[in-house]
Amino acid sequence: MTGIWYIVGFAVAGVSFVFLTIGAAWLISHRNRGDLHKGLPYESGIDTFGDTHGRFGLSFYIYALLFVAFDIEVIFIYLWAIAFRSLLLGGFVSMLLFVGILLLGLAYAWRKGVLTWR
Amino acid sequence: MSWADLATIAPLAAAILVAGLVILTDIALPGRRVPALAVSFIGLAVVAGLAIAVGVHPATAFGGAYRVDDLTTYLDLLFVAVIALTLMFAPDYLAARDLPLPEFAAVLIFALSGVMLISASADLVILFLGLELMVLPGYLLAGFAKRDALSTEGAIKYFLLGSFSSAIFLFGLAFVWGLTGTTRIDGVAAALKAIAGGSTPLSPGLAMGLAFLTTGVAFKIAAVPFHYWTPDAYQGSPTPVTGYLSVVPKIGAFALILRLFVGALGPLSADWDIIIVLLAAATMTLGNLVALTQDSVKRMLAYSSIAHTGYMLIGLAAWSSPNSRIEGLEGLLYYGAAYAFMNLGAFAVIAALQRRTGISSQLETFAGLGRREPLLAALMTLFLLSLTGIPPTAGFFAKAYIILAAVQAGGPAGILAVIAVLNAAVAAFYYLRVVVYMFMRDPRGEPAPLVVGRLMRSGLIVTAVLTVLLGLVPGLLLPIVGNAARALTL
Amino acid sequence: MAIPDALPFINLAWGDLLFLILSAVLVGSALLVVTLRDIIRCGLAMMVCFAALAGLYVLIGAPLVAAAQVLVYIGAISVLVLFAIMLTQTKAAPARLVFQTQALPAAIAAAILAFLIALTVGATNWNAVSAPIRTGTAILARVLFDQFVLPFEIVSVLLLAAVIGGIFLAKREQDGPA
Repeated sequence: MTGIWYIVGFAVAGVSFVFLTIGAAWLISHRNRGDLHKGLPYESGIDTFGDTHGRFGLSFYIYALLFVAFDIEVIFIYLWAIAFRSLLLGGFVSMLLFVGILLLGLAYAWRKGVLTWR
Repeated sequence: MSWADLATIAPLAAAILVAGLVILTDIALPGRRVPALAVSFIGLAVVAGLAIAVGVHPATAFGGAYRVDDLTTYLDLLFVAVIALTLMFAPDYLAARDLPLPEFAAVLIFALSGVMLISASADLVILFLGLELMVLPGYLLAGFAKRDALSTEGAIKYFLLGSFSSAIFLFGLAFVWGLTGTTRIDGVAAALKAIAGGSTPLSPGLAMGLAFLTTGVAFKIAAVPFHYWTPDAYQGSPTPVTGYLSVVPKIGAFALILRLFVGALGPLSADWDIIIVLLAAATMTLGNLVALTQDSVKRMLAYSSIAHTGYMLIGLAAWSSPNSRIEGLEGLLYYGAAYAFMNLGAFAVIAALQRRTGISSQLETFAGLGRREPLLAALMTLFLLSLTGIPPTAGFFAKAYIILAAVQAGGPAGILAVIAVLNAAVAAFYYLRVVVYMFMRDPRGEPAPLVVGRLMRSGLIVTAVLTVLLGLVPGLLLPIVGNAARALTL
Repeated sequence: MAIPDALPFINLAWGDLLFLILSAVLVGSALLVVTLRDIIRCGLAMMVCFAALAGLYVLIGAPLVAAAQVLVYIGAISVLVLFAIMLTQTKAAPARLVFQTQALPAAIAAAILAFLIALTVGATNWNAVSAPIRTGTAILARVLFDQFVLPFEIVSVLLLAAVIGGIFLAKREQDGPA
C-alpha cells in the first residue's frame, strides 16, 4: 500500500499550496482599515467605472471555440504519440489526415478574418 | 487501413472531400455563390456515381465495422438526391436574405456524409458518430438566419433537445454494449439471439438500455410524445432548411432504426414491437389532429411531418411480425423516398413564395395563388395531394403499400392499418384547405409578382416528376427497395 | 507505518471512501449548477462538477478519460461557457431563470429516473457476457489506430463541421466578405 501515500502526499501538497499562498498573502499584505480610497484598484488614478460583469468581446468567444476543437485534437495526438513506434507509416498517414482535416477549419477561420484581433 | 477498405468507403470519402472542396473554394473565392454551387453539384454527382459503382459488390471494410450492401446504396442515392434538391431550392432564398451559400452547402454535405455513415455502419461506434455528424449540421442550419430571432430560438430548442436525446441514446448504447460485450452490430445480434433464445426473461439492464435507445431515437424521428421541439424548430428555420430538416434527419434516423433495431436488436423484437405500435398510433393521430388547427402552412407541415413519422413507423411494426418482414421494410423504404420528394417539394413552393423577405407562411399568403402563379399553385396542389395520399401520386402508393403490409402482418399492426386509414381521411382536410385557399380565395391587396429562379424551377420540376413517377410507375423503385429490404433481413 | 486496507471501525475500503466523497461533490455541485441564482457561479460550480467526474474516471481505472475530462472540459469547455455567459449577460437579465418554472416536476422525474437506474443496475448480472476490458493507455492507443481508424478520422470531420458552423454563427457580419 505505497500507492495510498502518493495520493495522500499529493493531496496534502496540493491543498497546502492553496492555503499557504492565500495565507501568506493575507499575512504580508497591509490591512485596509476603513480607508475607502486605499481599497480601490488604483489608489491615485481615475475611479473605476462600470460593472465587473461587463460584456466581453466576441473575439474571446471565437478563440475559445477554436481552442475546444484543437484541445480535443491534442488528446488524440497524445494517444498517437504513445503508440507511434508500433504504428509505422499507417499511423503517420492517419494522423496527417486528421490534422489536415482540422487545419481546413483553421484556414476557414483565418480567411474569414476572425483571427484578426479587434 | 488497406486499399480495399479505401475502395469500399470511396463514396463516403468523396462526400467528405466535396465538403472540404466547397470550403476550399470559399477560402479561395470568398463569398462567391456560383463556384461553391458548381463544386457541390459536380461533387454530388461523383458521390452518386461512386455509390452506384461500389454498391454493385456488397463488401465490408475496417474489419467488419463498415458494410456496403443494397440498403446502403439505396439510402446513399436517396440522400444525395435530397441534398442536391435542397441545394437547388436554397440559393434564391438565401440570396434574398443576404445569407452565404458556401457555408450552407459545405455544412449540408457534411450532414450527407453523416447519413452515409449511418446507412453503412456495422458498428455501434460508427453508428453514433454518423448520427452526430448528421444532426450537428442540422443545428447550425436551423440557426442559419442568425439575425432572425425566431430562427435562433428554433435552433436553440432543436440543439438542446437534440443533444439531450443523443446523450440518452448513447447511454442506451452503453447498456447494450455492457451486456453484450461487443460494438459490432452482428455481434450484438448474435449475443442477443442467445439471450432471447434461452427462456430467461429480458434482464433489467437490457430493458433499460432498450428504453433509452427507443427514447433517443423517438426524439430524432419526432415521434409523439417526443415531438415538442419539432414545430418551433421547423417554423423558425429558413424555409429551405425546414424542408431539409423534415426529410434528412428524419429518414436518417429511420436508417439508424433499420441498422440498430432491425439489425442489432432484431432478436428482441418481441419486446419492443408493442412500443413501436403505440408510438405509431399516437404519432399519426396527434400529428394530424394538431395540424388541423394550424394557420401557418409551415407549422402545419411540421405537424404533418410528425404524422408521416407515424405512417413510417407502421412499416417497422409490420416488420416485427413474421408474416410481413420484407413487405414492412419495403413499405418503410418506399415511404421514405415518397415522403422525401413530396415534402421537399411542398417546402420548396413556400420558399419560392418567400423569395422576398417579410412574406409569412400564413394561409393568406396562398390566397389567389392559382391565378397569380398557376405553375407554383399546380405544383403545390400536386405535393399536397401526394401528402394526402390521393392516387396517382407517390404518397398514395407508399401509404397503400405500408397499410397493406400492416394488414398482412395482422395483430397489433393490423389495428394500425385501421388507424392509418382514419388518419388519412382527417389529414385530407388540412392539406386540401391550402388548395382551397390557392384557387378559391381572393388575395387581400395586390401582391408583387414573383420571380422563380431557374435552379428553383428545375428543382421543383424534378421533385414533381418524381412524385408522379413514384405513384404511377412504382415498378421503377420497388425492385430496388426490395433488394435493400432483403439485404437487411439476410 | 502500515495503514490498514480499509477504514477502521466501519470497514470501508479507501477506494470506496474516495468514491463516496467524489460522488457527493459531483452531485452537490451539479445541484448547485441548477439552483444557484448567479449564472457565473453556476458556471464555476459546473467546473467543480467536471473535476469530481474526472476523479471518478481515475477511480474506475480510466486515466486517459480523466485526462481528457480535465483538458477538454475543465480547460476548454468551461472557458467557452464562461465566455458565453460574459458575452450575453446584461443587468436586465431575468433574476430567475425561465427554466426554473418547472423545477419541481423535473426534480421528481430525475429522482424517479435515478431510482430506476439504480434498481436496474443493481438487479442486472453484468458479469454474464463482458470480458475484462483493457484500458491501459498504450493498449487503448493501439486499438484506436488499429481497429478504430475510421471513427478516429470521422471525429476530425465532426470537429471540422462544428468549427465551420460555430465560426459562421459567432462571427460578426462585417468580418470578412459575407
